[in-house]
Parts: sequence; structure tokens; C-alpha cells
Amino acid sequence: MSRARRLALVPVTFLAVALIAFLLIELVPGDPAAMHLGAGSSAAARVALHHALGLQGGVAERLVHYLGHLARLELGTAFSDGRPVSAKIAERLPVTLALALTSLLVSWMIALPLALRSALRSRGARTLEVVLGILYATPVPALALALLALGAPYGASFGAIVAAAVCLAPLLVPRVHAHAVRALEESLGADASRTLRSVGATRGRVVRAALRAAALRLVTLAAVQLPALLSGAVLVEAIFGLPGLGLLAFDAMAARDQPVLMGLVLVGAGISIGATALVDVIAPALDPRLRAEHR
Amino acid sequence: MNHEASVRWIVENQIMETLVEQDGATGAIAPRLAERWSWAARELTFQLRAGLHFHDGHALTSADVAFTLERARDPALAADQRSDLVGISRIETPDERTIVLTVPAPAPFLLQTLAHLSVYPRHLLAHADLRTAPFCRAPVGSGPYRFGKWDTGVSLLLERATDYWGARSHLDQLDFRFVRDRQAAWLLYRRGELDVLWRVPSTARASLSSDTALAGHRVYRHTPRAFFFLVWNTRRPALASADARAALGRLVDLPRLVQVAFDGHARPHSGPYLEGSPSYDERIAPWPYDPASAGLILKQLPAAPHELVFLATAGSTAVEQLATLYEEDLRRVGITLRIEKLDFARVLERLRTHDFDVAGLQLTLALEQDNFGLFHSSAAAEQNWAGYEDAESDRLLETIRMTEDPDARHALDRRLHARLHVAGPMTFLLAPEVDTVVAPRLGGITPSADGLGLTHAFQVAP
Repeated sequence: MSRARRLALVPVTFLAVALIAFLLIELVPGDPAAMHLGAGSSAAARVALHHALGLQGGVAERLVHYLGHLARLELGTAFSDGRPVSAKIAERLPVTLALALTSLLVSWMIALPLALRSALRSRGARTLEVVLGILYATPVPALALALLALGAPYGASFGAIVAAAVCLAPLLVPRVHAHAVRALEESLGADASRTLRSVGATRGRVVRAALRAAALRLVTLAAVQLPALLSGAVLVEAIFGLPGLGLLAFDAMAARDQPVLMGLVLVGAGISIGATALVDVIAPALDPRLRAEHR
Repeated sequence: MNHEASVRWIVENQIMETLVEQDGATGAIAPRLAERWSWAARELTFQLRAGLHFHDGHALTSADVAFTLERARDPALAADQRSDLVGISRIETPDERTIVLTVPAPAPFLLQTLAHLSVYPRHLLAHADLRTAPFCRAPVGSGPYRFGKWDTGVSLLLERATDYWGARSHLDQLDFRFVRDRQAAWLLYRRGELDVLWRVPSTARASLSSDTALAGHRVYRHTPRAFFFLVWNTRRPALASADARAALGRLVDLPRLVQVAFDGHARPHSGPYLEGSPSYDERIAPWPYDPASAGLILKQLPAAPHELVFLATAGSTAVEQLATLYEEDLRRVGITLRIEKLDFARVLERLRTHDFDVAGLQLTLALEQDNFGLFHSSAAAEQNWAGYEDAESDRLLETIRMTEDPDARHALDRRLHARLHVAGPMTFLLAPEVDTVVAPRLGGITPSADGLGLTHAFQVAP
């Protein structure tokens, strides 16, 4: 499929995500009004709140209403506090993006040297892999609390983001490592490296060439891992006091705050689609073979 | 228990004020914004203190009180206190400092309700949508502290109000930190980043006395107004008889539960009133753990249960542990317990639609609890999740609501306590004890006895 066609599909994908998410959230049992009013609320109070929140109509009616909002680029207001969903997401997005990108960076910093050692059959690679396996098996909350006990910063700060990223990185490293090893083995064994070595290129130059060849695969992987990091960081966000999207999603789910949940799904989808599109755009720069294809 | 609501109240109570206040230990009503009040011929008259004002300088008058009451009674707003205020038939403000409420029927819980209803500024809210007004993000009150800064989910800063009418606090600022993870909160406390930690995690309790880093820190142990209980769906044929429920109640290994889930820090609790209050009958103990006699009773029942669905709120560790222990004990008498762990929204819906057999829950009690909504047969669509219908309990609940004399009312409360114990729509289990720890550098503060408060914790004793 051509790049232009893929880009044209973006709005369609987006609409499909919105439809599916709306219906899925509808299917979740639990009354937002009952959650807002507390366990002892009366039926009359719940009905009154349904009216105030615009929940009284049927699913189809509400879906049309929601899509109307969306067409005007509005995400609506939260059930829980009446604030615009876009504002709630906007104030938390930077923390989560910073955390996600730092986690990716940390995972690359761990996985790439390891992958190089594995690919070049260097000594000690196995030991490091075992250490990594142990880290991977350590529950994230335990690792996070241990870091906090050792004096890691708490609260919305760069230090806390780095500490949280260190806790998330072990979850990402195995896949990054596996992809990197495969890409490096392919390229180190490939003609280019052989040619380079045969003409007496230094080991460093060969490695640089191999890394460049592996870059596309890693960037593609990052585009896949990023959306999962956006909402999957609830535990570390809670422990390090990072007010990010993970906690917002957790609270919105508990309160059955449908507009916030929808907003989060759409922003997540937007980032996911955006990241994939970005990879599409930068792929030719990373891999000259694609440049030839697109010509 | 709803921690969020408790925390909200602690914070709200620093910024906003109520007409009267209620002593966290004794339940006694004392003056706050109102310096006095009196009853005369079904009229309750409040006299406000002179010179009250909100933090923005606007005078606080009887119009603000009337506005607050009207808003709280508005069905469209569905305020928590609404059902307690509908008995007021007229609200009058003859002058700026006087409010007269006409209350045709006896209303024994009215003052307690007013002790939990903050007076809101009419000039900021009269024409605003109460759900979205800027006030909701930056409240303006009349209390000892004014709103400073709120970083959602992270912290809330309050600053001492310089011209407060009451006793001046010695703390310039109150910085509330919202720490999600209790263990993380404990680590932050140990690092000296917090001065007061409410509800020390049970895992840290043992180290409180032996930890040399915590020498000089003060620990306050209290039983918050919360208890754990099982609620039975009395509409299920196998659970319709009180005998069946009492037998099932004897299969809860309470001593083991206290050890496993609370490290021994919980007190047995037998009814829907605060232990130690005049409404609670101390002579009634929870059903003893007695599998042998429970087994015998169950064998004699015509429709004994064979399988029960247990609803547990996911994440409520104590209830999950209770369910696990209970499953073991029930298995020994041939009953299968199917545990369903659901999030609270789903649990609430299943309770409300009576789609369960038994559920383990935690409930916070008012200082003087009105149990009408929990047990009256007319409340089956609301909080009477058991679907409990009992003529004697109904009569008692109705009479309690009409009895203004406290002694007579408390005597009726104790009768209801006894009746509920025998009839058993709920099996009351225990009330956990919690610890609050205060750093040595913070002098002159004591958490209030009910553990919910800290209400006046930050004010210097006169």
C-alpha cells in the first residue's frame, strides 16, 4: 500500500476507534451517577444526575451527540468534576509522554549494548542476559518501592520520571533486545558488513553501519510500544506520585467517567496513529532501500 | 470505606465552615458559625456570630446559609445531605445574622446534618453551575485556612487566614500531599518529607516502636468510624431464614481474620452503631466462630445453601482475605463459595439489583447513625441491599426518626441493634484500628478521636 493511501486511512481508523470505544465503554456495567453520588444515593437523585450528565437518552442518540462534539473537535466535559476532558488530558499528557519516552530511551540504552555483545558474540553477554531476566521477573511495584526506599525522588519532577522509567524499562528491554539482536545479526552477516570488513573497516565503523541498519526495526518497535506505555504506567505513576494519564485512566474507569475514558482512548489512538505515520515518513531516511521503493 | 470522601472532608473543613460542629468523640453539638441556636414551636433559630466574612472579604450572612440549604435541598443537585434536609418546610432570614428553619416533624438528626454541611458563598455561586464553577477548583470559605494552590492528584496548599474569627493556628500553611500508594507514603514519611501520616500501612506498624529513625514520633491509635460486615441477600430462598444467616455467621473465623487481614489490630463489632456510643449495646457480641453448631443448624434447614456467590470489591485486601478464609470454612460444611472480585461500580450495581448471595463490605458510620436507608423495607431500591423486610425493625426505624429525646432514641437504637443481630440481614464483623503518626517537629496537634477528623488538629488550644 502506498504511503499516501495509508495516510488517507488515518481519519477512517480514527472514526472506527471512536465507534468501537464508545460501544465498548457503553457495555461496561456500572452507573456513573451511582459512583458520583455514593452508595446511599436515592433512585431520584440518580435520575436527576443522569439528566444533568446527558445520560438519559438511548445509546444511538448519545453516540450521535458524541460524534457531533467530536466533529467540532470537542471531547466534552468530565462527569466527575465538570472540567473539559481536553484540559484534564492536556495537563497530564506531558508527564506521561516524558515518562514513556524516557522509558524507551532507558530500554534502548540497556538493550542495544547488550544486543551488540550478543551479536558480536562478546564475552559476558550471557551473564548480562541473566541479570536482565531477573530484572524482568521483578514485580514493577517492588522495584519502584525499593528505589523509593533508596532515596529516589517523589512527585512531578524529572528525577521521579527517570526513576519510574528505570522501573518500566526492564519490561521493554527483552523485546527491544530480541529485535536488535535479529537486526544486527542480519546486518552484521550481510554483504555490507562483510564488504566493509574485507576492505579493512574498523570494528567501530562496522558496528555503526550495523546499528544504522537496525534503526528502522527499533523505531518501528518504539511506535508499537509507545501507546502501551501511555496507559500502562499506572503502578509507577502511583508510587512515584506522577500525575499522568495512567492514573487518570484508572480513576476514570473506577468512576465510570465515560467522556474522560473516550478522550483517553482517542488521544491514545491519535498518538498511536501519529507514531505509525511518523515511522512511515522517516523510514526512507533510515533505510535507503525504502527510498528506492517510494521513488 | 470511602477514603476519598474522608480526605475531602478533612480539607474542606479547613477552608469552609458549618453552622455548628460535632465533637468527634462524644457527638455533642457545639457552636461554629452560629454562636447559638434554639428550638421553639417547631422552629429552629440560629444566630450567626458578628462580623463573619469569606476569605474574599465578602460578608457571610444568613442569606448565604439560606442559599446553601436551598441548594442542598435541590433534587437536581442530589447533595448527600438532601434526604436529611427535606423535612425543613420553610427557611427565613429575618436579619443578616438570623436564620429560622421551620421543621414540622421531629428531626433528631438535623443538627448532625448541619454540622456536616459547609456554608457556601452565595455571591460566587448563585448564578453558577455548581459542577463547573471556578469555585470548585478554588473554593472561597470562611474557615481558619484559605485556599492556596491545588495541583490535581499531587498536592493541595492551604494558607492561614489572617483575619479568622476563631483561635489562630500556629501553622502558617497546610500542605496536603496525595500519595496513592500507602507503602510509598510510609517511605516518604520515614524520609521526613511528610509530617503527619494518616493510616500507617499495616506492614510498617511493627517497626513503629523499634525504628530508631522514628524516635520521638508520636503514634495515635484509633478506631475510625468504619466497620466490615457481610450483607446477605434475604430474597434468596436459601438465605431467607434468620437461622440460616446466623449459622453462616458462625462460620466466619473472626479471630483468624483479625490476625491475617489486620495484624491483630481490629475490634469485633456487632451492630450498625459506633462502639462506645449510647446507641451501641455492648452486651451484644458478634456470632462466635462455631463450625460444629453451624453445621448442625444448616443440616436441619429445609433449604440449606449449597453454593453462594460472594461479591468482593477488587483491591480491598481485607475483604479478599475474608473471602478466602470464608471459602475454606464453608467448604468444610459442604458449601461452595464462588468469589467474584469486581470493581466497586459493579459491586454497587449488583447490590442494588439484589444480584448476589453475600457481599463483604466496609461502611462508615455517622456519629449518630440513622439506619433507615440500610434496613427499612422501603429502601430496597437504595441501600437496603439485603432486601430486608421485618415489621419490627421497620417500626423501630420509623420511631427512632421521630424521637427527639436522645435517651429515648438511644434506647430504641439499642433495641434495633439487638433485633438486627438476631434477624441478621447483615453479619457485622469488626472495626479496624488505624495508626496516625506525627513527626516530632510538629507540636501542638492531635488527631481527633474519631480518626476521620484532624478537623481541629491544626488549631492551637486556647
